[in-house]
Amino acid sequence: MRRVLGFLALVLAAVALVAILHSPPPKAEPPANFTSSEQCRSCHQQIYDEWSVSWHALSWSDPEVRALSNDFQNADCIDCHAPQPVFATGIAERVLPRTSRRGEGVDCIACHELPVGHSSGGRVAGTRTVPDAPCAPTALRDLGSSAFCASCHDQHDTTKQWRATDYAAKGIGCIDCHMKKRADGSPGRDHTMLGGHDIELVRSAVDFRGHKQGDHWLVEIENVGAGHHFPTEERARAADVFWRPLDGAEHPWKQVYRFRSPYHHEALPDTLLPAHETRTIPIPEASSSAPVEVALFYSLKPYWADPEHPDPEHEARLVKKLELRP
Amino acid sequence: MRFVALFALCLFGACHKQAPSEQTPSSTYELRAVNKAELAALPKPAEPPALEPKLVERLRSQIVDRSHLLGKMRALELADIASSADAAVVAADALLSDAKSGDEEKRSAIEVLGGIDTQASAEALAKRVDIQTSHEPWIRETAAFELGRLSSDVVVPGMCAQLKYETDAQTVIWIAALLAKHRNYSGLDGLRVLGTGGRTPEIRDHALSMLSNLAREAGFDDPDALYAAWNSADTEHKVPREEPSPALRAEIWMRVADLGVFDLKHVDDARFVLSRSPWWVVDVLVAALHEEEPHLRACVAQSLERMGARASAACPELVKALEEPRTAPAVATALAAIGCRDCLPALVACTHKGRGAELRHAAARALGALGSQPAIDALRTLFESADTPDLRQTAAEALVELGQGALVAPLLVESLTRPGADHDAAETALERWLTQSADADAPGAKQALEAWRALAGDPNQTSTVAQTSARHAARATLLSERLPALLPPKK
Repeated sequence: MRRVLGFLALVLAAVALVAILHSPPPKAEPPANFTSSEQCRSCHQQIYDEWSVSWHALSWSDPEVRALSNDFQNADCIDCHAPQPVFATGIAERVLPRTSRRGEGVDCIACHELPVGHSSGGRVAGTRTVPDAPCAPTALRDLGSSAFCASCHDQHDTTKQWRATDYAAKGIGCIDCHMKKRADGSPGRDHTMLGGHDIELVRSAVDFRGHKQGDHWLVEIENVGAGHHFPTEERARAADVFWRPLDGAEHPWKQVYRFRSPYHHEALPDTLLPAHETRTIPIPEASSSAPVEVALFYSLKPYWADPEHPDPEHEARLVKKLELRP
Repeated sequence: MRFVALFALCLFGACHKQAPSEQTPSSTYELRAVNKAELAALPKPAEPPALEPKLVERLRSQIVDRSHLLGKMRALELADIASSADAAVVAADALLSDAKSGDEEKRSAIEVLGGIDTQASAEALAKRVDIQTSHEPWIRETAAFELGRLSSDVVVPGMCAQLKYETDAQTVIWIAALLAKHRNYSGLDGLRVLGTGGRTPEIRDHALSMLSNLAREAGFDDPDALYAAWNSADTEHKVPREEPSPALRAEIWMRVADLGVFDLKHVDDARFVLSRSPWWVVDVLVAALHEEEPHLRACVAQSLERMGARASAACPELVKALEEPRTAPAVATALAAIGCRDCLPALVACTHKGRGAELRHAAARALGALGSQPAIDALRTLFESADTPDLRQTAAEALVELGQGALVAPLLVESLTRPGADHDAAETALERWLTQSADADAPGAKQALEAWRALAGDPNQTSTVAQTSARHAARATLLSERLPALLPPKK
């Protein structure tokens, strides 16, 4: 009898072993809590790499932001620079500030985590529903909608500006320009999310032309590519038109015009250029009988070190430059 | 047989192993539509009186004519125009809105408004003090001065908000005076700045004399004593108090409503006003802590936070609000800013495993700000047991605040370069620890602090992202080398 039982035990153990060896590899456990974008990295390395060099990832640590917000002593900036998950605070609702993992800025969790009890039943929002994946993402259209970006970016009216454009009417949204599909054809979209920091993208937003008008030159700037005003992110951003004689001598740039929306206390007009519109700017000082150089510069912050003598070549970025000759 | 059973049991156990989940305490904190109810209960504004257009036109001409008069005649004419009250307000307001009106005509209109002590004239003058619509400094200054002569307190929140944006020194001085008239001393900050840093001697003298006047009028010999009393819990009511009018109370509830709007600029204006309001607004904010709208509720807690010690009366209610999970992090921050020492046990409990991550971080920072031995003990426990490096870093930063830097310095050094860590916060905490150590003459600390500061870069230039990363790395290397000498020997 003992031999029989021993034999049966061996058979059972062998069956169990075979069953284990032939079963699919164990599913990676999803984390109990999402506490860092690092948790996403093991499965989503490419996306993590893209995000980690993006301005979303730098939204807390960018020295420029830290300087402008007085190292976030101006606590209002924290709301969007280290936001709680958008799905928790509400699509197109105002975000609320985080107290944890601020170093990650606008991170994976801020956009993808779903609150406990979300109607989808999921914990992570994605573009595909993949129940077998460790984080089991649930496809939610809201994630790619422009309303999703509005929670932060409409604080500066960018989404509002976009809604008034032909792009919005045609269904071309934020991600179509700022989160393009990858050139290598790999699935998903590029999480580098280029914007105003990418001068090539800024260049594609405007057409810059110059003409003679009577005895002086004028320039025209047309918003041909931005799905919102140029520049957007009002107040902090600015674009400036400069000119100088083109006679072989060294001349400093002279400012002619500024595209910008002022702060509350600044008694200045709002001069942002809406999408599809053209602005004509005369340069009365520049005689059309002599050649001149005109340029459009883009600034990430609205102030010049010396407002009387702005130095665009060092303090701003060149968008476009033209030589106008009689 | 036993082997098979054990094997099967292990298999079963492995299949059913569940990840621990973060527990959120079920909240019993009462939430309701507080703001909606308060706004619905507000008295409806009175219908504007029907005015005879001819009368308004005649008064407008009178105001224009008055601009040419001087002395007694000018004063007599003002009294005559002001006797028409509502119609005169409409006439003066129209004249001020007319781009064709001359400066002297506008000055006359502002003086007329200052001679009519009604809510309508106060509101008309407040419009002229608003820098967002009134761009000429002399108009804002004159209107603020005239507004100070009126008794209506309904303009107080609006004037308080102006202090956030006003760039004209004289206007700031007159706004401070009119706020103080209604026992709101939030203008003292501006006066103190202008008193020492005003652009001209005249501005500095005017600010200092206004400070002295306001202090004397409030029963204080010294402006600094008034300033300290205003920014304290003031349990003995040393700072004079004034009951708000129903109109002002309504205005404050409307500011509370603004805390829930989308535009953060409006939210911050409201928070600015509420946090600079006097004693009775604490009760309003405590009631609004029960507001069902979570954005509004969080900003109510932030408003109390920014009141600081002046919101001490809110401490018991804030401790209760720690039970409401979505507001609790903002509440913990508020408790620390106010300096509620009785809340330490509640805050310690908030750092425990099982509470939300956001709350644990906020509670750790609050303990770091409040201090005392129980706080240190709780933070040490958190530092040693926290399940994420991020939470350990927060506990470490708080321990530095409480003079326990030597315990946590190695983790902070690691946090200078760890991906995803808050490198800047680690850097700030380490610099604080080095400074504390140098001040205490700890061996090698002064040299380490000097070497650390030498890596700071140009203070007049904002560094780039790459420069900042390089600085963090260099400082991490520096301290890694020096830590053995800086830390006390292990027992």
